[in-house]
Amino acid sequence: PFCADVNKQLSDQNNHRTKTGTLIKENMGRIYLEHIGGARLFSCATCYTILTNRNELISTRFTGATGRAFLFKRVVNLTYSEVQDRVMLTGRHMVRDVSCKNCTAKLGWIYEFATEENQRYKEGRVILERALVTESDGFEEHMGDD
Amino acid sequence: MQQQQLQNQQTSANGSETVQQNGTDRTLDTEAARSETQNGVADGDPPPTLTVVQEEMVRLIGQHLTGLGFKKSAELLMSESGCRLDHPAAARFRQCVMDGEWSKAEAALNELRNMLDNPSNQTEMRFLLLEQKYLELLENGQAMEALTCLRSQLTPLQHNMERVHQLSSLMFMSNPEELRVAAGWAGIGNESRQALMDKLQHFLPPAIMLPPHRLETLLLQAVENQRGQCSYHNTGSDTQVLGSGGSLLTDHSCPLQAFPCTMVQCLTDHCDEVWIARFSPDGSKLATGSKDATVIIWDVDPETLTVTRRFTLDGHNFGVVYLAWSPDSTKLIVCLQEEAAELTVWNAEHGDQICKVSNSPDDSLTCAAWHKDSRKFVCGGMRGQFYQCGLEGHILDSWEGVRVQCLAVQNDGKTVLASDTHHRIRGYHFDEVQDHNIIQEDHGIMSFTLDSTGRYALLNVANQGVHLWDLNNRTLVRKFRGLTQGHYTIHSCFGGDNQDFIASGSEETNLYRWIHQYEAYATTVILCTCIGNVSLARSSFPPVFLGCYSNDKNVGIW
Repeated sequence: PFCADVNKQLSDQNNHRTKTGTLIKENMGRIYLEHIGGARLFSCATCYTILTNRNELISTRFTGATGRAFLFKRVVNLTYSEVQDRVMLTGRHMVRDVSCKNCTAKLGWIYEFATEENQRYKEGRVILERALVTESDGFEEHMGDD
Repeated sequence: MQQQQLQNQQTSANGSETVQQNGTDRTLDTEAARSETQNGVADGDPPPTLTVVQEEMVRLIGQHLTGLGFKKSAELLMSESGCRLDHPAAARFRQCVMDGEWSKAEAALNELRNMLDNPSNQTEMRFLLLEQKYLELLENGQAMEALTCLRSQLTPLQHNMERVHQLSSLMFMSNPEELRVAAGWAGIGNESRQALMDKLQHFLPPAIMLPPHRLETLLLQAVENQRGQCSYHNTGSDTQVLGSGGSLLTDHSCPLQAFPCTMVQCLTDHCDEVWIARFSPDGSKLATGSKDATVIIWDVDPETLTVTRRFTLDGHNFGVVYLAWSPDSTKLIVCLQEEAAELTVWNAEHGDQICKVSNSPDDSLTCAAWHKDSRKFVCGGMRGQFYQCGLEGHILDSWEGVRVQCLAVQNDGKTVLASDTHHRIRGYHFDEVQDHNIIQEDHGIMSFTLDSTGRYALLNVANQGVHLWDLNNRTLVRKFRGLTQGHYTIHSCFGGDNQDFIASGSEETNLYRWIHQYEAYATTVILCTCIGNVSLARSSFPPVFLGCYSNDKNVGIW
C-alpha cells in the first residue's frame, strides 16, 4: 500500500529538461549542483548558483532580450527547454532556452544547430544575458601534485 | 536368487582380473559384458562406445567410488565400461607409494618418465619419494639405513639442498614426536603417504592419474556457480551451502521473500521533503532530516522491524541536507543548506545540542563525517570550507582551496576522503598535511559511501549511475546502469550481511532498486515501487532491513 500521492502534475508552462532531455519532475528532492570553479565566477542573479567562469568566455559581443549577452564554452547547473527554430541577426538557428537549475530563472539560450557554416562555432555554446547573471570572485583551487 | 549369486561370483572374478589388466584386455571385458544380462546389456552386445567426455565422467565416478571404499563397484564399472581409472604404470606407482615400497616406486616412476609433462620433474618426484623414505627410516629407528639414503640417494640429486641440510639435522632426533614436529611431517602411515601421493600427483598429467577428488571438486564449483547466479543471495542467510543442509538435488536459489521488498511502515511525520535518512551504525536508531528544518530520531524495534518516534530535533533555520552518525551511535551531526553557514552536533540519546560549528556567515558546511573515536569530525562545503573540528565546536584544522561535496573517514583513522567539484575523491591527512588522488571520475560525484571494511566505495555519479570502486587498487570494479541521475542528489548504500547488495535511489519516480553484487554477477532487481524515492539508508542488523526514504514528505521502511 502506498501512502502518498503519486506524481504531482507539472504546473510549469515551460517544460524543464536535463541536458540529456529527461523531463524534470518537480519537488523530488535536493537538487544536485555542480561547481565549475575558477577565479572569476558568473552566477545566477536570482539565487547565486554558480554557472560558469571567465575562462569559459568566448565572446562578449552578443545581444539578448535584456541587452548585452556573453557567449560561453561551458556552463553548468542549467535546465533546457524544447528546441526552437529562431531567426536571429546572424541567421537561422535551432536553440534551447536555458534556465537556472536551482530557481528556474531564465538566463539565456544554447545554440544547438546553426544553418550557416560560418555560425557553426556557436553550436553547443551557451549565451548568458549580462543582466541575468552576476560576477563574483572565486579562489584558486587546490589541485594537488599527483 | 541362485542365479543372482552366480552372477555376483562371476562379477567378483571379473573384477579381480581387471585390476591387473586394467582395461588392456578387451576380450575379457566383452565376455564379462556378455554374461551380465542383469545389467541391461544383452548377450552378444559389445560395450557402448563412449565419447571422450563420457569416458572421463566414468573415470571420475570410478575414482569417487574408490575413495568411498566401494572398490568392487569401481572395478566393475571400469571393466564394464572399458575405461581405466589410471594408467597401469601410474596405478602401480601409487600402490608402491602407499605400501612404502620405495625402490619399486622409483622403478615405476622411471616407467612413467616419458609421460610426464616436464621430464625434469622426475628429479623432484624422486626427491619427494626419498624424503619420505628417509623420514620413515628415521622414525623406525633405522639410523644407518637413513644415513645411507641421505648420502647416496638424496644428496646426489642436488635438488633442494636446503631441505637436505634440514633433513640431515634431524638425524639426531631420538624422539619420534619431536621428529615429526621438526620435519613438519605427519609420521609413518597412510596420512603422510597419501599427502605425498597428492603432491606427486600434481606432476602427472590427468590422463595418467586423475587429480584427487575431482568429482567432488567439480560439483562444488557448480554449487558455487549457482550461488553466484542467485539473484537474491544473501550470504548470511545462506542455508543451502553443501554440507550444512544444502542439497545437490536442486539448484540453489534464494527465495524472493527473503528479500526486503514490501513496505512495512510509512512515516508521515515530516511536513516537507525528506532529504536524508540514516540508520545509526548499531542499527538501533533512525534519523530522518527534512526540508522542514527538523530531524526526527526514531527507535528501531528489532523484533517487529518497525520504528517509533523518539523525539524531534529542531531549532534549525534551514532544511536538513545531511546527517552523520558517530561510530558509537551516540551523536549526530546535522548539516543544513549552504545558506545556514553552520552545523549542529546533537546528543542522540537525550536530544540536546552538544555544540555548533559556525565560523563565518559565508561558510558552507553541507557535509560531515566522524573520525573513528567519535570525538573529532570533518566538515565542509562547496564554498571551499574543509574543516576538522572537535566536540566543543572549535575548528582544529582547516584545508584551503577544496570545494567539498561529500566526506568519509577511512578505517585507518587518519585518511579523510573528500569528493570535490573536480569529479574526484582525494585522501587527505590533516596531521601530515599530505593529500593524494584516489578516484577520478568524468562526471560529478553526487555522493559516496564506504562499506564496512573501508575497502570499497559506492559512488553516485551524475548521469552515469552508481559506480563501485576498490579503493586499495584504485580501480573501478563495477558500474550499475539504468539509474538516471544528475538532477537530484541521490544516495546509495551497501546492504546485506556481507555487503552482498547495494541499493540506490533513483530519479525515476515510482522506482527504487536493489542490486545484487555477488562476485561476478550484478543483477538489477527492481523490487518495489515507491513514490519519488531518491535515497536510502540501511540497518546493519540481519535480516536485511532497509529503510528507504522518499522525497515527498514520507519515509518508507522496508
